[in-house]
Amino acid sequence: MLLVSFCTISCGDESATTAPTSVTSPTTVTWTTHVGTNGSASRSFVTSQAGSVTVVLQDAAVALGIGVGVPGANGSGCRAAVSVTAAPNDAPQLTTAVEEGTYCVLVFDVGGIVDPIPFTLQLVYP
Amino acid sequence: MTRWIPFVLLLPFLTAACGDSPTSPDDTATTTAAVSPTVFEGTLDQSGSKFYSFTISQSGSITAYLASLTLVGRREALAVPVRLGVGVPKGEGCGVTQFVDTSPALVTQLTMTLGTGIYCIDISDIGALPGAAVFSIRFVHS
Repeated sequence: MLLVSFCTISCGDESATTAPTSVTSPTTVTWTTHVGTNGSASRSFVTSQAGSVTVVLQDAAVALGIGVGVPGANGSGCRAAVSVTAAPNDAPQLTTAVEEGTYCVLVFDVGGIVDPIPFTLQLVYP
Repeated sequence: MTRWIPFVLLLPFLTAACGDSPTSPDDTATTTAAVSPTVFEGTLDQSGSKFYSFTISQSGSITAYLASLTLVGRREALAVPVRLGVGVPKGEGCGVTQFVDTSPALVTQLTMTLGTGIYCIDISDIGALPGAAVFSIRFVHS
């Protein structure tokens, strides 16, 4: 009985060290920056699995365009697959399905910006 | 006390047996590397079409999606359908053998099994484009 107990404990300890790495998903990012007249701002993100991306424009002085898409072929800019014009709100204003890969979120002036303004956006992705 | 001696003598063997099991390599384990998509970008005129040729050196499947469509000089996504197709080069164009009429999305829209050879991916206006548009297509061969 003593032998059995020793073996169980020993093997159990070693198994614990080889446990698979857990994946934390979804990821939530809060992004604050500025956008100017006729300007845009974008940032890329990498999804670890398929799922939904949601975007919430939480704070801005005027309505802004928000979109989700893919980085340009040369790695710069963001080309929108879906977009909406959104006023600041706490509810998701844009939701779209994605697969595992590299995507980007885009915020742009739709004609309401006179001087550069700050905005805060929340992005949730799988 | 003497009755514990056999157990003590057995301990080194017992430890080795327990240690070997969980740390031994798993010969059946495999890893899958993410495949970067090929990007095909350009400008699609009203009533126009564009194609991109590529070579398949190993049979497999191709998945593709129209990742973006915007009017030239604009940032808003254009939610109108265009034709996304795959085929073989024909003359100065692409002889499409399978297609889907679709607007932009970030998930697979077209899947096709291909043998080795030269193929093309094609995008064309089906009458819905309000003007020249910048497009971005992502496709992966596996």
